[in-house]
Amino acid sequence: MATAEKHEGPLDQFAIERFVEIDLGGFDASFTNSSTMMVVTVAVVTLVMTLGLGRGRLVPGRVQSIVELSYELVAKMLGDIVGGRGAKRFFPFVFSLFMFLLFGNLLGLIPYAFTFTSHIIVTIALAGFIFAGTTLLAIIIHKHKFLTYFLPPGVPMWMAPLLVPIEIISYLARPISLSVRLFANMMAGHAILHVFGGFVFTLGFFGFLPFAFIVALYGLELLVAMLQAYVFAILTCLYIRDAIYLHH
Amino acid sequence: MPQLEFGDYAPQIAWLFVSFVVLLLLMWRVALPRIGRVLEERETRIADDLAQAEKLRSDAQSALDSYQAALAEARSKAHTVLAETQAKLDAEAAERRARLDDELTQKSAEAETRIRQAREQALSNVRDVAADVARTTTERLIGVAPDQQASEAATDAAMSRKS
Repeated sequence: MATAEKHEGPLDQFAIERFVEIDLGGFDASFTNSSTMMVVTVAVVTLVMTLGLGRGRLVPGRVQSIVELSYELVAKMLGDIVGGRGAKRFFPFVFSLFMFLLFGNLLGLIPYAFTFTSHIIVTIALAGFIFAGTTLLAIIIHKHKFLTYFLPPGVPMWMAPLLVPIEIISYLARPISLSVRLFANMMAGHAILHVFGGFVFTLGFFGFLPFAFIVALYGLELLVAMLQAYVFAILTCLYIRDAIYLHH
Repeated sequence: MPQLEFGDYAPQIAWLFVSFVVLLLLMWRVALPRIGRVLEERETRIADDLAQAEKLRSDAQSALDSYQAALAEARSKAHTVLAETQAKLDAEAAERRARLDDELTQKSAEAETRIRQAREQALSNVRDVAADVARTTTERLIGVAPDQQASEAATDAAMSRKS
């Protein structure tokens, strides 16, 4: 619980602060700084995606171009990786996921804002849902043949004792790598920004050096914010494809 | 490390679930269909415009073709008319020349006849004068005038001998 009036360590910025205590029969559903940013993200994404489209002019303006570009980016990603009817069916989910993470990461870069993707529980919840969902999808589509995923056809039998455990481990590692990648990137970036922010004041006159570094790092963090959202979405597409077609 | 405060997990999961489901529903039901419609409209509009342009182009091409066909037809027609006129004029000219030839032949024949008559006339006049002269000369020489018939016969004989 970080109720300290001033953030001190570089990790204190990630502290969860409860604004409104909500208790649903023993389940703690308090409205926190993290919840605020989630709601703000949903609101911003929705506003951009609805009002940004305007009247849907034939020649798009600036905001409409962003809307259409993001739509086509995700549509192309899904079309290239999954393709066919699967691409259409999972489009709303992947689009929402991409936008949620992208705007969550970007809005978190605004000074004093909270980055909800810097918490492992948030990313692992999303990754776990995706993992469970794609596994369930694969089992529904392929029934018991789903197990052949761990032993692709054409592999000699004597390789099985070695290959099957490796495949199972790599499959189970998916949600972990997916969630840790995003969480670690976001947390590390914000922590480094905080550390160098502290240097700006302690170095006095020479503070402009870490300040310049922060400016450059902020640009890098913008890139990381977009890249990580993109990577998360593209890996989700890959997992969906694996669930539908089984063999890579 | 605040990320490992297990007591904070429940509210985060709860609000993650709520906000993400709300976003998913808003995107799925409201935003994405609209964006898709706009993009589709633009695509059909562009496709329509392209089809329209293609149609106009082919129209223009066919108009050009028919114009050229009409031009070629008119040209060949003009050729025919020209040839026909030429032939007609030639025929007319030939006819006129033939008629002129006939007329001239006839006229020259008439003229020849007239000349022959005039000559004969003149010759007979000459005979009469010659007979007269012969008679008068004879009378002067011998004092006897031969009768008219004898002198005319003598003149005829002399003239026929000469010619």
